[in-house]
Amino acid sequence: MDTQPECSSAVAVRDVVRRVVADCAPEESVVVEGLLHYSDAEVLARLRRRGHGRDPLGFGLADVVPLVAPLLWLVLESARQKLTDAAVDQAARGSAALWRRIRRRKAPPEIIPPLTREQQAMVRRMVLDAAAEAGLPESRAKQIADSVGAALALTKPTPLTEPTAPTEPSAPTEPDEPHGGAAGGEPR
Amino acid sequence: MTSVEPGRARLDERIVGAGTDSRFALLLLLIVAAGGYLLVPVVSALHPGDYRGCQLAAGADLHTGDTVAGATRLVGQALAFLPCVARHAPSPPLWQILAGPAVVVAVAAVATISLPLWKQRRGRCVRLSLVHGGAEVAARVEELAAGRVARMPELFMAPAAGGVNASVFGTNGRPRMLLTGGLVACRVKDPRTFDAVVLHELGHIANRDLTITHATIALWRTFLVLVVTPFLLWWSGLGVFGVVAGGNPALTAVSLRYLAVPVVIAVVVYLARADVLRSRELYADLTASRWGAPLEHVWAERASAGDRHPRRRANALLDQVRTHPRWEIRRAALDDPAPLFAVSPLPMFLSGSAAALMNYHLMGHISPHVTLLSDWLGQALAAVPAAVVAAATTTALWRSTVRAATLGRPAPLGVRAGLWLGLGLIAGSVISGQSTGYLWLPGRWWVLGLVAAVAVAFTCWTCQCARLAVTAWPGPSPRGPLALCLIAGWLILSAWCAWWNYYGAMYATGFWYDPAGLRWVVVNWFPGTGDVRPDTTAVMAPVIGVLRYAAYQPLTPVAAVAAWVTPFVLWAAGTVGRGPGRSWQRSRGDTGSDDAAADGAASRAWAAPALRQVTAPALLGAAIGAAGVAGVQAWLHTLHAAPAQRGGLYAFSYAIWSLAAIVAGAFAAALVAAASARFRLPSALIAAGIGALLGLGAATALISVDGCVEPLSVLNDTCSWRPAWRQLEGGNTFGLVAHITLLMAPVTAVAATALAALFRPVRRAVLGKNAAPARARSTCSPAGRRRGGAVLAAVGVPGVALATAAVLTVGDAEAQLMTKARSVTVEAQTAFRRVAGLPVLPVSREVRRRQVRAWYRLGGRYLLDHAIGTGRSMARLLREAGHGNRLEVTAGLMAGMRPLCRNMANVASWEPVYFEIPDPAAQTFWHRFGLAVQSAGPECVRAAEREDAVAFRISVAKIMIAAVMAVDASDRIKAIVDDPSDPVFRGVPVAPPQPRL
Repeated sequence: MDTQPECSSAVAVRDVVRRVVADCAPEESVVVEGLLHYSDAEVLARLRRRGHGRDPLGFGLADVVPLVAPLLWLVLESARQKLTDAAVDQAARGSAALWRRIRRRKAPPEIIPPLTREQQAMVRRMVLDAAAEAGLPESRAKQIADSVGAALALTKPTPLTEPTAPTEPSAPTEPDEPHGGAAGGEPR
Repeated sequence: MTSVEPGRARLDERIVGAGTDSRFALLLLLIVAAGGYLLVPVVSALHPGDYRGCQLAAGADLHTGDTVAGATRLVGQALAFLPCVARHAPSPPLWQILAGPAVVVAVAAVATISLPLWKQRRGRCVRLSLVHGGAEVAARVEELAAGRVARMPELFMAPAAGGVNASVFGTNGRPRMLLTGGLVACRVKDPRTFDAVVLHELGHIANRDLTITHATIALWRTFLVLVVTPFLLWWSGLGVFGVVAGGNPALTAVSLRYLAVPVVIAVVVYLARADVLRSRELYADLTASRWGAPLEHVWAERASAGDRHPRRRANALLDQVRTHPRWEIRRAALDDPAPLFAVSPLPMFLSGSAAALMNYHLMGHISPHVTLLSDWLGQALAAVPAAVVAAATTTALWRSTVRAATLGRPAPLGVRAGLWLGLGLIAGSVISGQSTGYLWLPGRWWVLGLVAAVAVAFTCWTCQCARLAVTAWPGPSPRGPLALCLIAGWLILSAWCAWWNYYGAMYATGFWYDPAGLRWVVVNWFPGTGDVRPDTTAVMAPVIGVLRYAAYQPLTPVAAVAAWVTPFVLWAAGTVGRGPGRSWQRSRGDTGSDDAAADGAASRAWAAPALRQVTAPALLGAAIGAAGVAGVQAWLHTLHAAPAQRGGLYAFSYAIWSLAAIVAGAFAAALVAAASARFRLPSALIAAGIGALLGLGAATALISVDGCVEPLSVLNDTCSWRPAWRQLEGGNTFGLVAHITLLMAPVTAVAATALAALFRPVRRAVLGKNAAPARARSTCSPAGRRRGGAVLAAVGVPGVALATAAVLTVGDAEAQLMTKARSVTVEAQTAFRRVAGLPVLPVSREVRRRQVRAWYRLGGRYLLDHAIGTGRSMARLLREAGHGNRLEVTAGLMAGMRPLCRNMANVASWEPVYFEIPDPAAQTFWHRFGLAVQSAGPECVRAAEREDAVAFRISVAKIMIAAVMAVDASDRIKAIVDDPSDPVFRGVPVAPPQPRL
C-alpha cells in the first residue's frame, strides 16, 4: 500500500539521514551524531575523500565496511542536486561558501525541496542502486529505501532560512578541554 | 569484559628487551648528525674565504690532481696550512656548527608536542565525549583499558572514515586514541572486532610506543624542512655545475655524493622506521593477545573473505616498505612470534649503513676545527655510532640465540648477520665518501673486506656470548650478562670505529706511509746505537707501522681485554654459580610435554665444556711465549754486542721479537682451544687472552732479570732486578709491546677460529665422521676448595687484565688528550714528511702558475722581499766597508751588520714552517737559502757580539751566497707567474700567518 502523500515537505538532508539511520542502522547513530558536528559541505568533503592515510600506530586494516549513513548522505545530496538547478546553484554556492569561510560562518543545512511522487520514486531508485552497488542485500536496501521515503514524507519541514545547529552533546564535556568545533579547521 | 586466555606464544617475546628503542635511537641520531653535517657547508657559505688559495699555496689541487697526494701535501704542511686557513678562510665558529643540530632537535621537540594537536584538529576528528551516544563507546574502551594501561587515553572519533580501524597518537604520558566511524559502528554488531582493535591500540600504549614513534616522525619532518631544503638549494648548483663541467671527476663525485646523501638517508630512515614499526605492531598484537583480544576472529574474517596474495615476490618487496605486517604474518605471529626473534638481513644492513653515515657525519662536525681534535675526542665521537649499532645488533642476536636455546635448536652463528652488517657499514662508508676521498670508489677497495670481517667477528662473538650466558649464567634474569655483552660490544666497536676513522678509511682511499719512511722509524725508534744480524727491519717496519696505530687508540686496550674477559666471566660464572641456570628462559615461556624432551636434548647440545679446557691451552701458549722470549735472548746474546751498542735497533729488536714470541704463543693457544672445544670462538679468545697476558708477564720477568743467566744476557752483564719497563723505556718501547700484546690476543683468536672453521671440513674428510672432538665435560658446580679457586680465577683473571689495560690507558692519557693545536709541531711535521713524503703533484702549467702565485701572494713574497731587501742592505754596508777587493771588518761594520744578520735569520726560520714553493726548482733555491741562513745567521750574530772577525767574515759570506738563492727563487717565481702587471707584485706584501695553531 502506498502511503506517500502527493507532495513531500522540504526537509534537511541531515534530518533525513538521522531518521533513517535511527530506523535502519541504529548502531551507526553515534557516527551520524559525529557527522552532525560538521556542516553539510564538510561532511560531503570528508565522505568523498578516498583513503584517510595510514597512521603509524594504527591497527593496520584497510577494510571499509559499507555503512548506511555515508551512503545515504551521498545519495541524498546527489538527488538534491539533481532536483535543483545544478549549474546556477553550484556557482552561487561556491562564492557563498568562500565568503562564509572567510567570515568563519557555518553554512546553512542542505534542504531537499518538496518532492512530487515521481521525484520521490526517483530518490528511492537512487537509494536502491547505491545500496546494491555498496553490496548491501536487496532486502536491506529496500528497507532503507522505504525508510527514506517515510522520512521525506514525515519529517517535520525545515525552515529554509534557519541553520540547523549540531546536536548538543548529551554526555558531560570535559571542563579542561577546548570545544572541538572551535577551531573551524579545513579538510585536508 | 573479555576473558583473559592463557598466552599461546611458545616463548614470551619480552624475555629479552625488544631492542626497538635502540633502533629508533639509531634513526634519531642519524638524522641529528646528518642535520649538523649537511648544514656545515651552508653555514660556511656565510664565512667566505680563500680556502682554495691556501690549498694552492700548499701545492695541492684537490679538484684536478691526485687527491691522495694532494691531501698528503696538506697534512705534511699543516704548520702552514692550518694557520693559513684560520686567517684567510676562517671556519664558522663551533657554536654555529652545533647550533644546526641543536635547532633541529629543538624544533622537532616542539613539533612532537604539537603533532597531537594537529592530529586531533576538528577537521580530522571530534572528541568522543562531545558526541551524543559516545559515552557508551567510551565506557567500553575504558572497560578494556582498566588495569592494562597506566593512563586512560583521550578518545576521538573520525566519523567520516568508514574503515574498521583505530590509532593512537600523543605521548606516552598523555595518550590519545582515534576510532574510525566504521569501528564505532561495528561495536554493536561485531563487538569482538571492536575489542580486538581497541586492545591492540591499548597494547601500543602499554608498550610505550607513542612518544618515540612520533618523535621520530617529527624529527624527520623537521630535518626535511630545516636541513635538506637549504642544503639542496645550496649544493644543487654545485652539483649541476659539476655534471655539466664534465672532465672533472673529483668535483662531480663530491657534488653528486653530497646531493645523494639526503636521498640515501631518506631511504634508510624510511626502511628502518617501517621495519621497527612492523615489529612494534607484532608486539602490540601479542600484548593484546595476552589480554585476551580476539584477534583470531579478525584474521579469520579476512581469511574467509578470500584475501589472498598470490604475488609472493611483490609481497616480499612490499613487506619491507609497509609499516604494518601482512595479516597472515600477524596471525602466524600469535602462535609463534618467530619474526620478533629473527635476525633479518635488512635491519642489519640498515643498522650498518646508518652507523657508518652517522660516524662520518659526526666527524664532519669537528673537521672545520681540526685543531681542537684530540685522540680522546675522536674516540668519543666514534663511540656514539658504536653504541647504537652495538645495542641494535646485540639485542637482535641475543633474542635469536635465546629462542634457539629455549626451543632446543642449533645456536645461530651470526655469520650471515655479520655479513649484512658489514655490507651496510661498507655501503655507508662508500656513500659518505669516507673511504673514497674525492673519488667514486676506494683506491684500495679490498680493504673494505676488513670491515665485513670485523662485522662478522663481532656478530659471531655476540652470538657466542649469548650462547654462553644461556648455557652457564646462573642468575634469574638475562639482564646482567646482556648488559655486560652490550658494554663490551660497545667498547670493541668504539675502538674499531676510531681506528677506521683515523687510519682504516685513509688506507682504503689509497694513502699509506712510505715503506722507506717506516723503516727509518723502526731503525730510529729506540735511542742509542745498536744493530742486529740478520737485519729484520724489512719485516718489522710494515707490521709495526700497522699495529702501532691500532694499538694506540684510546679504547683499544680495554676493548681488546673486554673481547675475551666477557666470555670468560660468563663461562666462569657457570662454574662458580649453581650450574647452568636457564630458569629465566623458562620462567616466561610455555613448556609443554613435548618441550620437556627437547629441553633435555637442548641442554646436552648447549652445555659448555669445563673451563679448564681453555685454561690448559692458555698455559701452553704462555709457555710457548716464555720459551720464545728466552730464544730471542739467546739469539741476541750470540751477537755479543758491546755495552755502547745495546741501544737503537738492537734493543728495539729485543722488544719486538719478544712481542712476536708472546703473540705466537697466544696464537698457538687459540689454535689448540679452537680445535678442541665446541665453543670455538670464546675458547680461542679466552685461551689467547690468558696466554698473552701470562706470556707478557713471563717476558717482563725474563727481561727484568736480564743478565742473571749468562747465555740469555742481552742488555746487561750483571745480575740484578731491573724492571723491563725501565730497561725498554726509550721510545716507550715496553708500552708498545704491552699495547700490541693486548690487541693481538683477540686478533689471533679470531684468525685461529677462522682457520679452525676452514679446516674443519678437511679434517672431517681425512679422519672421517668419527673424528669429532670428544664430548666436553659440562660445567658443574664444584664445592669446597675447587669452588674457591674458581671464584679466585673468575675475579682475578679479569681483574689483572683490566688493570693492565687501565694502566696502559692512563699512561697514554696525556698524549691522547692533547689537541692537534699542541701536537702538530715542527718535529711532528718533519716526522710525518719522513714517513709519508711530500709528493710534488704533476699538474698543468697553468695550475702550477696558480699554485706558485698563491704561495707568493699569501706570504712568500713577504719572506722573499725581506730576504732580498736585507741582503741588499748587507751588500751596501759591505761595499761601504770595502777597500778595493778587500773587506775590512771593523767593530762598526759588525755592529751595523748584526741586526741585519738577525733579520736574515728570522726570515730563514720561516722556511721550514711556511709552505714549500710548489715549483721544485724555486723550492730548491728557497730551501738552500733557508738551510744556509738558519746556521749562518745566528753565527753572524754571535760573531758580531764577540767581535770575532774571522767567524763574522765566514758567516756573512754564507749569508750573501744564500741571499743570491733568494733572488734566484724570486726570479724563478716571477718567470712562472709571467705577468709583471699581476697585482701580486704590487702593494704591501702579506705576511705569512704565524705557525701557531
